[in-house]
Amino acid sequence: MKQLKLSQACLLDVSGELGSEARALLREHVETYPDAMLEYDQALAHFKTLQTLPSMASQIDQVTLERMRQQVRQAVRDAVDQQRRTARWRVARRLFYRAMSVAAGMAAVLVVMAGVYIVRTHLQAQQERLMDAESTFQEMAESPLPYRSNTSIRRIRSRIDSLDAHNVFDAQSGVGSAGMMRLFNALDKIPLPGSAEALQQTGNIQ
Amino acid sequence: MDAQEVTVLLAQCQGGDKHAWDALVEAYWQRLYGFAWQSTKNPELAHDLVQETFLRVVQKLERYDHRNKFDAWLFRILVNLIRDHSRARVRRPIRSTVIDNVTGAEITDDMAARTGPPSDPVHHQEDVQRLYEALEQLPDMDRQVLLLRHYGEMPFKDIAKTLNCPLGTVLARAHRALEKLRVFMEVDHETA
Repeated sequence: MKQLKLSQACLLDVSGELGSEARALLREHVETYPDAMLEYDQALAHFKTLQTLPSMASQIDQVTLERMRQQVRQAVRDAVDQQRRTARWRVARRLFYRAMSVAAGMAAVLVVMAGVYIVRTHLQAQQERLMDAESTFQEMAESPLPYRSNTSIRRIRSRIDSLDAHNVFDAQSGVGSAGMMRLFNALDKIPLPGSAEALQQTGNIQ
Repeated sequence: MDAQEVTVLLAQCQGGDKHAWDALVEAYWQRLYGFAWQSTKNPELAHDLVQETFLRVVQKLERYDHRNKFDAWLFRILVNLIRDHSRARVRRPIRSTVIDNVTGAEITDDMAARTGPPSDPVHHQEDVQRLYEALEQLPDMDRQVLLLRHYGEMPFKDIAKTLNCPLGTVLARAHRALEKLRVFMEVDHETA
C-alpha cells in the first residue's frame, strides 16, 4: 500500500477509489482523531464542489452531439478501411516480391544446371574422341607393318583432323593435355618404317 | 465497460471489426469530448482533437500493450494533442474561426473562450459561470486533473498514468485545485 497524506487518502475515499482495507483503516483513524474528521469533511466538501460542475450532456444539444458522434464514427471507419487497404497492398507487394525472387532463383539454378550439362557433354565428347584416337593408334601400333593398310592410315588421319577440329590439342583443358599425353605414348609405340623393330617385325613375317 | 470487456473489444478492433470500432467510439467519445471541450473551450476544435485521438488509436492499436490501462492510454493521446495544440497556438497565434450553429455568426477562438460553454438548464447559470471562471484561474496541470476526473470520468490512479506522474502528485494537485475552487467560489459569493 502506498503511503499517502491524510488529505489525499480522504480524497481517494470520497471519490470511491480507496480499497476496503485502506478504507477501514482510514475510517478508524478519522473516528479516533477530531482533526482527521475535519480533514475528511473538507475533502468531502471539495469533492462535492467538483461534482457541481455541469455534465457535458446537459450543456450541448443532442442533435449536435449526435452529429459529432456520427462524424467521428465515420472518420474512424474510413481510417480502418484505409488501413486495411494499405495492409492488403503491403501483403500483395510482399508476395509479389517473394514470387519474383523465387522465380529469379529458379531461373538462375536452371542456367547453372544447363551450363554444367553443356560443359560436361563437351568434355565427355572430347574424352570419347581422344579415346577413339588412342585406340586407333594402339591398334595401329600392335598390327604388323606390312598389314598397315592405307585404310588404317586414313583412319588415323581422320582422327587427328577430328581432334584438331574440336581444339583437343589446345592444352588449356586438363582433359586435353592428359589425353594428348596418352596419344603421344600410343604414337611412341608405333615402330617407324626402317627401324630395327620394324625390320624385325618384317623378318618375322617373312 | 470493465477491463475484460475493453480487452475483448480491442481484440475485435485489431481484427478490423467495424462494429467493434463503433462500440469503442460509443464507449469513449463523450468522455473524451467533454474533457477536450472544457480544456480548449472550443467545441469545433475539441471535436477535431477527439477525432484525431481516435485516428491515432486506429494507427497505433497494433502496437498497444494490453497490460496497460486503455483509458489512460487513450486520454494520454488526447492530453498530448491538446498540449501540442496549445504550444502551437502560443508559437503562432492564428485565430481559427468557427460558425455559430444557431446564429450563423463567426466566432473566433478568443470569443469562444470568453463566451464559455452554453447555458445549462439544470444548474444555476451564475454559479456555473463562476465555477468556469474559477477553473480558468487554476494552473493548467491542476485544471487538467479536475477535468480528467469530472469529464473524463477517470479514477485518480488512471489520471496519474495518463499524466505520467505519481498518484500522490495527482491527489495533491486535485486537493490544491479544489481548495482554490472553493475559496474562489466563497469569496465570489461574499462579494456578490
